[in-house]
Order: sequence, then C-alpha cells, then structure tokens
Amino acid sequence: MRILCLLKVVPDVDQFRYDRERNILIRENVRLILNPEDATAVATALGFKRDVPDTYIEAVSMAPRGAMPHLEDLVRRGIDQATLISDPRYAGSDTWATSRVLARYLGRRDFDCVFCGTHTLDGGTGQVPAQLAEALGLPLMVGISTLVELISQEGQAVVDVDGETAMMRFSVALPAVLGFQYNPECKLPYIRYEDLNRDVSGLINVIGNDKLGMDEAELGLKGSLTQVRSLTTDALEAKDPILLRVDQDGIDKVYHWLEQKGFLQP
Amino acid sequence: MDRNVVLKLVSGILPESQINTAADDLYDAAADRYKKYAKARKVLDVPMPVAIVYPRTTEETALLLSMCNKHRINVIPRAGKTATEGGLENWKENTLVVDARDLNQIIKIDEYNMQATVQAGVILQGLENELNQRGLTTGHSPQSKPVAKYGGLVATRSIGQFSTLYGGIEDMVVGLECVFPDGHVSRIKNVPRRAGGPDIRHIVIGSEGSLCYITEVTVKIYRYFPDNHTFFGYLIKDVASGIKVLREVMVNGYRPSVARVYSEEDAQQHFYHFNKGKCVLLFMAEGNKGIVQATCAGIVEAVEKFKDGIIEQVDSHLIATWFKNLNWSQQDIDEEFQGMIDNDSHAGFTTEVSADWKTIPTLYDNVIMRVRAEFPRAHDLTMLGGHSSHSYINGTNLYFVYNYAIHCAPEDEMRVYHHPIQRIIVDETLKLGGSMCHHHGIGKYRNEWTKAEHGSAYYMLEKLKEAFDPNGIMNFGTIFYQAEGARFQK
Repeated sequence: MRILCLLKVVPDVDQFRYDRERNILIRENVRLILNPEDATAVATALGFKRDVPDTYIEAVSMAPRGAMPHLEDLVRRGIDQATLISDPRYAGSDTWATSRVLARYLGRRDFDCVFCGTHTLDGGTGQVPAQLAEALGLPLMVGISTLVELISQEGQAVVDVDGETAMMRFSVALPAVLGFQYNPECKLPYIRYEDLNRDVSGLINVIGNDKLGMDEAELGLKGSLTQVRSLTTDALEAKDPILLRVDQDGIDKVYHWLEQKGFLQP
Repeated sequence: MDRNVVLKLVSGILPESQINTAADDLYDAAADRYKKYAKARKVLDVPMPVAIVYPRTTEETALLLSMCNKHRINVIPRAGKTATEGGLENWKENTLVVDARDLNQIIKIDEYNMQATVQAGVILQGLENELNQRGLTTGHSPQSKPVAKYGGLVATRSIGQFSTLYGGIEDMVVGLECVFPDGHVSRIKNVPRRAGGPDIRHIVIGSEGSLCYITEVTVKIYRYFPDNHTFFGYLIKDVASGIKVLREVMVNGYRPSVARVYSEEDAQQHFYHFNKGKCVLLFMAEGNKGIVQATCAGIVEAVEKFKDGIIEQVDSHLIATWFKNLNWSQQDIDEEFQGMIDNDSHAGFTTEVSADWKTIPTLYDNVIMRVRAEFPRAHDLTMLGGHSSHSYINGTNLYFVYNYAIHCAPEDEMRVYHHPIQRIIVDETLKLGGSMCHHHGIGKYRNEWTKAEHGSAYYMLEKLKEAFDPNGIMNFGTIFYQAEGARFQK
C-alpha cells in the first residue's frame, strides 16, 4: 500500500494574542504547527503502517522552506519520505492554484490513496481536497472520523464519517482522496529522544517549479481565482471575572449558569 | 547475588509480616517524585528493589544494615516518600528499601525543656497536631507536612514555610539516633549547645541516607500563637523590588515567619484572583503579641522605604486564605498521579537554589533569559517563574518553578524537558557563586555537580563517605556521582 499524505503547516492560532486597543490579532512570533486534521491523517497512515509494515508513506507539503523542520520530524516519526514543494513563485496561491500544483506533482507519483485533513486551521475552506480530487479524476471522501479498513487487493477503503445525525460507513474505490477530521485520540507517535537530531536530509526532496514545469500564469496571485479584498477581526469584549467560593452558593451559581447556557437540561 | 538469596538473608532477620515483595509496591519503591510522570505511565527505566522491609526497632535496623554491609546489598532508607530529587530512586539490582513505617512512635514531648523525641517514621503533621493541642508547634512546615516523616525531613536537611522565623530542620534538631552500615548505633544526646568537637549532628543532617539510617530524632518545640498571625500582601513591579524589601526586613533584625516574593507567572498560579498579572510580595508575622507587633512595624517600614516598587497593598484575608490551603495532602498527591495517567502533563518541577542578596536578582534574570533563549522546547513551557521563600540575614533562596506541555514519549520526558532546564539553573547558580540545592537535597539528579558545589571542601564529604560507608551500600548514587548510574541520568 502506498499512501501519500498531504499536509499544511499553519500558525498555532492558540498563540495569537488579541490587542484590545487596536482590535487586531498579534501574529508575530507565533509558532507554526502541523494542521491538526492533517496530523490526524498522517497519524492514521502511520497507524496503518504499524499493522502493515511494508506500507510506504510519503508526506507532501506545498510550503515555504520554513516547513522543513516539520517534514524532518515526520520522517523521524516513521514516514518513509517527505517532499516539500516550494518555490517563491507559489507565494499567494489560493486553493485553486495550490490544488493545481499539488495535482501536477501527485500526477507523477504512484499511490493507492491520498490522505489529508478536510479543513485547515487558518483557511478552513475545505476546498483543496475536492479540487485536487477533481484535477486527478479521483473519488473523494471528506469528514472521515475513522479509517476502518484499507484493502489494497480489492482496491477499497472503508471509512466512517460522522454525519450530523448518525455515523455513516462508506466504501471508497481506490485510488482516492480521503479527507480526515481532527481526532484528538489519533496522535502522531513521539520522536524518541535518541532520534531527535537524527539526520534525515537524505529522505527529504525539495521540488520547485523548475521540476514541475507549470506555466507561471497558473501560479501565485496571478493563478488564483480568489482575491482577498479585506480581512476583519471580530472585536472581543473583556468580561469581568466572577469569583465564587467553593460553597453551596457558588455551586448553585455555576449550576444555574450552565443551565442558562444550555449545557444542562433543567 | 540472586534476589532470592537476598530475601532469604532478610527472612533470617525479620518475620514475613515485615517484608514486602508485592510487585506494585516494589514498582512504586523504584523511584520517587522525581520520575513521577514515568512512574504514572509505567515506563520506569530503573531496577526494582528486592524488597521493602519495615524494622520495628533500632536493633532490627542495625541487624539489617550489618547484613547488607556484609553482602554488599544496596540500602535505600525511606520514610515519607516525598523526596523530589531521585534520592529514593533505585539504581542497583540488589537493593533493600528500609522503610521507617513501623518506627512510628512519639516517644516523648517534654514541654518544660521544649523538646520532642520521635522515631523516624512519625509524620510531621502527626507531631504538629499533638503539639497544637498543647499550645505548641514544631515550627516546621514544608508543603509535604501532612505526609513527610522525620527520618526523611532530617536526612534531606529540609526546610519549612516558616523558616524565616524558626529556621530549617538543622536549627531544630537537638539530638538523634542513627545506625551506620557496620551496625554501630550512635546516639547524639540532647543538650542546648556544646563545644565538644565538631557538631556531629551535621554529619547526619542532610546526609540523604548516604551515610547512615536515622532511627530517632529530638527536635525543639515552640509556643504557638495562631491568634496573633498577621498577614501582609502587595503587588509589586518586579522581583528585584520585592527582594529589596525582603532584605530590608531581614537585615533590620525582623523575623517574619513567612517572607516571599513571587514572579509574575508563579504569582499567577497562586494568586490569579487578585495579582492582575503582577509580582507578589507577602509576609506573615507570628509569635507572641509583642514580637508580632514589632515585626509588623518592621515590615511596614521596609515597604515604605521601597514604596517605589510597590503597586498596591492586597487584602490580607486573601493571603491568609491562600496560606491555609498550601500544603499537600495524600489526596493531592494521588490526584496528581491519576492526572498524569489521564493526561500528557503534570504539575511541573522546581529547582531550588540560594545565593546572597546581591546575586539573587541577577541569578533570577539570567536563568529566565537563558531558559527562554536556550531551552529547545521553550515553546512548550506553560509557566516559567520562581519565588523567594526562605530568607536569611545574608541572602535568600530562589525556587524556580516550571510547567510544560509534554510532547514526547513519557520515557523521554526528563531528558527532553526537566534536565535541560535544571542544567541551566544549576549552571547559572554555580557560576554566580550560589548553591544549587537550597533544601531539596542533591539526590541523584544533581550529583554530577556535587564536586562543583563543594569545590575543595568536597574532600570532607568524600572522607565521610569512606569512613562511614566504605562498602558503598548506603543509597548508591545519592549525593556522590557514580558512573554506573549515568545511564539513568542521561
């Protein structure tokens, strides 16, 4: 089984600080992390590889060079190879342009399925998996909560999707694009201490547009169908904390608040 | 030597009821709070002891130690299990943990001579409760008070929250009894003071089980005036401002029982309900009325002198309430343990150091800066700060506190997080001429710096070890670096 895992490195939004005076988010010095849904996808692939050791996993990311440490860490966690698609000409690409670049690379690769997250923490449109699948002519399933089975002989993946009213089970013909939703129970394995600084440079490819050969009109802002007009930040209100004692009065107040907010049935 | 042979030798001294080989208990005994996370996650990398034994008399203790000495069996003296620096961790296959559980008698409370004599297994809180009923106190109040026992308190040279008034354990111990590896029992008698040669109590106090086994202790006791407790709290601009006030109070001769300065992040842990993100300075005065009044006046005077560093005074009731809930209980320890099983986190670590007044502010700033700049996982820190909590006329301590989200395998947590941070703190402290270990003891995990800590005086420690434990059976790896133990440290 050959699994390609697409991933994006995103800002850790939990580290954003809010400037109340200027009504802006302060993003400086914010750490980059692996998009949580992509991390679930990679963790799922690694979980499968644990059970089927001859599985081949390649992690692919279209990103600036700053994403390299994340790819190195993934190799240290058990990914067989990582590919960074990076070129200054790709800067400013929307989901459409990004999908076309990824499709160009994936079209040259041999794989049974593509794993990725359904949404990203920073964009959240969920468009790349769909556009990519369309470009590659592959079936697509998103919102996957669990990979039930991956059967290479039958060319089939069985997945569970958490629908709003029920859990649904689907069978998807391979090759396919499988988009996962975040599962906190499905974690990437830790890098062991002795591997933290292991040299994995030999297992990482860096590919630019010179290798992919795409027309520059299809790249970056020029190739993007979506143009950002403006960004607004929701104004956050400061609320005074309510101090309660651990006594009957405090407990009653908390209970009443939870009821009001709908967390408890009256 | 085969473990079964060790058990047979022990069985020749103690009955079965005093020998514990239960697997869960042996696992628990293999490490102390230093490796709390690995222990909770069941990934300890150290050997299990052969057995935990519970002598009931000094004679049984002497027989056990003689036997171990003859057969080169490692001995770990244990009492309250609250050690935090690996002092109770086991690094040898053939080890007996000698637990003071059954040495649990309060032998005598001598109210006229203001002394209390207890066996090593007496819980500090137990003696304190007994004394309080009589209008007395031990004056000793480490956070582990509800569970710590006298053998360990003396062995680690412990200190309590009221030390600025009452002193550390070394100021409280009058006399003691201990057993040496060759089975010799020494009793140091109870006198108020003497010049009978060097003060041999100090061979035992702080020896961390590396020289002898403490069986009995006599400590001073004090009159207790809880109705006179008076608290002060202030929000201050920075740690350095608070240190100035602490120093002023101390050098003017006042002795509040509590005198503390907290950095912003450390203060946020304790005082989030009122500290407004600022540093906190707090005092408690206790004693008879006249002393409390004078101490309070001294505190107010010192605060006034350095008022430029003071932002505002805090309702003293808030300080009093906080203080009443500071100590651990066994339930707190158990809940922390369960939390570590359920989550990828724990309550953090501390490294406590000391230095003179001039050095302390620089030490604090340097450590914070270096940790943020040099520690590779600084982004995982959820809290980094510290507080001063034990002051003297010539300096104070710093208790560095650090919590972090654990993003590594449990087996690697110490090497990835705690050790690099501790290394920076110890390195900076020794560089500036301070002590790397104010009151937790060296244990096993600072033993690589014992020589640097003592310099040319290490010679004296070394000779003590050679004299009293020539076969090296007492708590292998504690205080004294052992190359064989390095694999557990690195």
